[in-house]
Amino acid sequence: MSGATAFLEALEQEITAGGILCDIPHFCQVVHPNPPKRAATVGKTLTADASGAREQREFSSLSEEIAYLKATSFVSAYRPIYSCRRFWGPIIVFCKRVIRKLTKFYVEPIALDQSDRNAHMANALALMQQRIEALTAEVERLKNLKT
Amino acid sequence: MQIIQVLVTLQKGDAIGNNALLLADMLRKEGYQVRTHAYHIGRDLAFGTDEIYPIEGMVTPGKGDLVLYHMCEETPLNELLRVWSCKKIAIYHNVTPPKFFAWLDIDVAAKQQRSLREIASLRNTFDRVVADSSFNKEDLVQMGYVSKRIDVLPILIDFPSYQQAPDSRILRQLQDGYTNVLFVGRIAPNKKQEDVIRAFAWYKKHLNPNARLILIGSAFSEEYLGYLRQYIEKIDVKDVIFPGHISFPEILGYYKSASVFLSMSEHEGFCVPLVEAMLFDVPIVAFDSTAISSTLGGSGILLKRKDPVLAAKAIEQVMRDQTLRAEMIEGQRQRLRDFDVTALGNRFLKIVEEVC
Repeated sequence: MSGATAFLEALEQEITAGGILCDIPHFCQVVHPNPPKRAATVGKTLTADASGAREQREFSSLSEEIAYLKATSFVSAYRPIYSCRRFWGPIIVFCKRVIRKLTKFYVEPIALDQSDRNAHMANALALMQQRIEALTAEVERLKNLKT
Repeated sequence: MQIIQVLVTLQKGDAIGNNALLLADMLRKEGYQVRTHAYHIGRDLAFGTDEIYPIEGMVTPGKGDLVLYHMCEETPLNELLRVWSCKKIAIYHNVTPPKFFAWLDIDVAAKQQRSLREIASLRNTFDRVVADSSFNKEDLVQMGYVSKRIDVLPILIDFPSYQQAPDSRILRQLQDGYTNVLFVGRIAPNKKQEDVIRAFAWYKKHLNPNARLILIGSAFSEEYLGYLRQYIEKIDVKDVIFPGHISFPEILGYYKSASVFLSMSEHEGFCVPLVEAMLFDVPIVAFDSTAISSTLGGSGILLKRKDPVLAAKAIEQVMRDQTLRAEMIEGQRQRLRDFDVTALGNRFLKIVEEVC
């Protein structure tokens, strides 16, 4: 649709030339979703400028990643067993189940160890995030003092 | 040969559920014996009628049967599908990526991740796969599915059902000279209702104070809906309506009263509401993400940049410029022809015949 494309380009030019910015705060600047793991972000005052919003969005991504790591830190030694082969499939599945049973004593402790490490890693990252938040808040405070 | 359709949730008003019911009807008309099984069946779909049954107690499909599987989440069905020896066609409706939920509900995010992993592990299970959009097909190819075994076929939509009378009360309430900006879709983080609200707020503040925003859809979670209401209060924007769970005639009433359809969604597997907007001649302004552009197929207005000012100005132009509006509506009507149920149904039948 050439009409729509042309007018969109005209609109873009109008917005750029006029330096028109959105004066409505972004969702992330106004609402502070607060899952328990991000308690340190409560009460953080956000600047309304674009860089502040971008920083908060990047920070939100970090929090999301850490929360996700925590939620999925558990590594299961149990995996569903299947075979796609039509004829040999049931035999293959049976053999795999036997092998799984025989190696369980060896594999399960490794999976548990890994889960433990994953959980510690996620916690360490969360602590680092809190530290970064505290330092950022301190920097903001010092900047405001300067001005 | 029996055709056994399996899915997790079957209910009317849900795009996947409606698609399943329409497919079953269409296949029955062609003379096939069709049963539909689901874990959760909507209360308005009585057990046993139209051959709708729960999954529990389902007889294992025989070698000569065909299973149609609506694939969109983790489920014990995925394990069953691997061991069934019948022919199988998967219809992939997409899985919303976990990143959209991680900040809100970690359990849901983890479930989405598991869903993606399970679907990827089924890559060699199906004889054919039908994807609702080229975006969905690309998703599957990324997961290791063989491209030449995937057909792109838009979701079937029961257009005749939209001919029923809309709710007159809604028409009376909304046809008051206000510009009605509409978005239809589950109130969920990937749909980005907050960005629709932001664009609308700028539009109402700077361009047209006589505007109203209607956000139709059931809430993914009360918490998220609460955050949206909090946002609306904090930015002090009026005339934003969440109708909540409403009847089909009421939905028709909202579409008939809509001046423009605005989408800022960041993830869609197909987006049925876009087609519904086309049906009601509601001009569409949408942010270009995932399957939006393929569903629009060149119609509507596609925003390459997510800028509330751009979206607001686009709405203003659509409302002011009648030539542009007419051009858009005509383009959308032409695009609507590509979703003709008979033509799409025949393509699906051909796939079923090729597999069987």
